[in-house]
Amino acid sequence: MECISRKFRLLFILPLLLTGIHFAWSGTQDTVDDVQAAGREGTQDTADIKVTIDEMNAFISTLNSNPSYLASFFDAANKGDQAAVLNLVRQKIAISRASVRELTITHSFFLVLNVTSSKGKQFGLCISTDKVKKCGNGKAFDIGPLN
Amino acid sequence: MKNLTGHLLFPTLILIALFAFVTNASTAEIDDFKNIVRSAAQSTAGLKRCSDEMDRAVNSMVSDTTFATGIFKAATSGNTSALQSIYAQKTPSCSVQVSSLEKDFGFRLSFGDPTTGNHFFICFVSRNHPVKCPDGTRADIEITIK
Repeated sequence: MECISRKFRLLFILPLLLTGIHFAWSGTQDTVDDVQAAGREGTQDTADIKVTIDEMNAFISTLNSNPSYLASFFDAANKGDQAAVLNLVRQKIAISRASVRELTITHSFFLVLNVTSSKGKQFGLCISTDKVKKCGNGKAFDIGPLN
Repeated sequence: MKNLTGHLLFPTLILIALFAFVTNASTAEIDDFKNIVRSAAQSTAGLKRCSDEMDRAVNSMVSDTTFATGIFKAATSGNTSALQSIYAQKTPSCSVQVSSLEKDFGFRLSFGDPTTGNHFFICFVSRNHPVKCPDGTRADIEITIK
């Protein structure tokens, strides 16, 4: 009688024990779900970067393709008119936050714009028509991350 | 009268020359600016293409189970070239490289624009990985722009 009871006890305990071991083991193992979870976190970052770069590209493309926008921008930058420069920039960079970090006028202009993404990634966008003062990469144009 | 013409001619010529010089200088400046903008547009267009493709690839990790399974198998078995070619399927114009791959799937990829050399580095780690990405999460992006 006692033997049967022990067998019954084992019959209940063993599956429970095995299930527990299985869960404990699978908890330490990576699965495809893990890849998807990491991807899910990544999509928030890629979407944020994508929007910011799309906007910076829209700004530069408009300068490249729209002569009146280019002329207005060139005029404002050459006058050192930060408000007018920012007004033109913000027509294209709307979701990210843009500000003028530096606008220096000698006989030409040196401009650095700060562009901050929604998640706080910062970019510097430098344009220099100055023959002497160049952007960080030693060229007339530079775009780079600040953090 | 002759004397007056002589007096006027010289300053007028100087004024015309000065005007021509100033106009020419400003035309040259705006032409310079146009050239700068033209090359800048190539750079930002390359960056845009690459960030679009990177975004698509990372989205596929979530929405496409076959893609995620391929990544999981390649990453956990330490197969760098397989991992690279899986991501390359989603990035036709942007070059993908696995810059590091650690046990228990922790890896770092670079998505680069071949024309400008600009790169996006993206880090992924599993929940069991001892080291997290630089921002302390399981996925993070760094950008190197040339």
